[in-house]
Amino acid sequence: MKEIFAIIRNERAEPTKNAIDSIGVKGVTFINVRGRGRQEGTIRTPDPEGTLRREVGIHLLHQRGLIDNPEDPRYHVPVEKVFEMRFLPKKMLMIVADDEQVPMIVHTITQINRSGHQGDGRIFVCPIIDAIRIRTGERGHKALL
Amino acid sequence: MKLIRAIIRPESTQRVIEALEENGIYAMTRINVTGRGKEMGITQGAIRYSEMPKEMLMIVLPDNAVSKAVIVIEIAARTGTTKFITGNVGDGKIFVTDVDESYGIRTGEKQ
Repeated sequence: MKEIFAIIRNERAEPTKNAIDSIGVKGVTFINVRGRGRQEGTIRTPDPEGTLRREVGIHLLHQRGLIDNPEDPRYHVPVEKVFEMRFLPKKMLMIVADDEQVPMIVHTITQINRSGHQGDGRIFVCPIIDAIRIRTGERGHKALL
Repeated sequence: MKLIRAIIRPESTQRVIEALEENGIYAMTRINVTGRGKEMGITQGAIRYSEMPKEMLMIVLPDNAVSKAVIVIEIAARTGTTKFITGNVGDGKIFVTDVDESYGIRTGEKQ
């Protein structure tokens, strides 16, 4: 038995739910969370597309003097006008499933949520020792059906 | 890979995040939770608060980085440390569990 944690965009929660339903996984828990990854959230820059692809965190932009740097127009924002959001609102969904279902669930979530932009999210698969249905007291595999 | 779940005081969250940043840990998820420990909340006069608001940080790290991160969180989240008294009831707990696999959704790669 495995538990799948997927941290996804808020607006993709509904399509993800439908897709997971359609592959026969009924039980899913959604939580509103705030999170960030390698980029440490978002920073507003005069990038025409609004989303700037970067591999470094915000602290490194500051450290390297890229903010308010007239030589690099991508990051040329006066320090007082910089808008940063260090944590972004996300949805986390938790699914407990049998081992053989895991690759299919991971594939489905990946397909639905992939936009190719940063912030698409991440999936973690963790081992689960036992599951119990509270109504009947069934354990293990039966509790998931 | 390990998943660290740290349940800490909401007011110490910023301190913990800054301490983690100083140690090169940036990626994390924050969740507002309520909970209680073995003290069953707190009692103020006639009123008992059975659950206290807390903040849960979830961080996934490679095995070799876990022990350092746990110490960093522990020290940053501990309140009111003096020579004789260490920490207070309600400072929180840290749980470490296994993670089998991790995927980035944008690339679909296993990491």
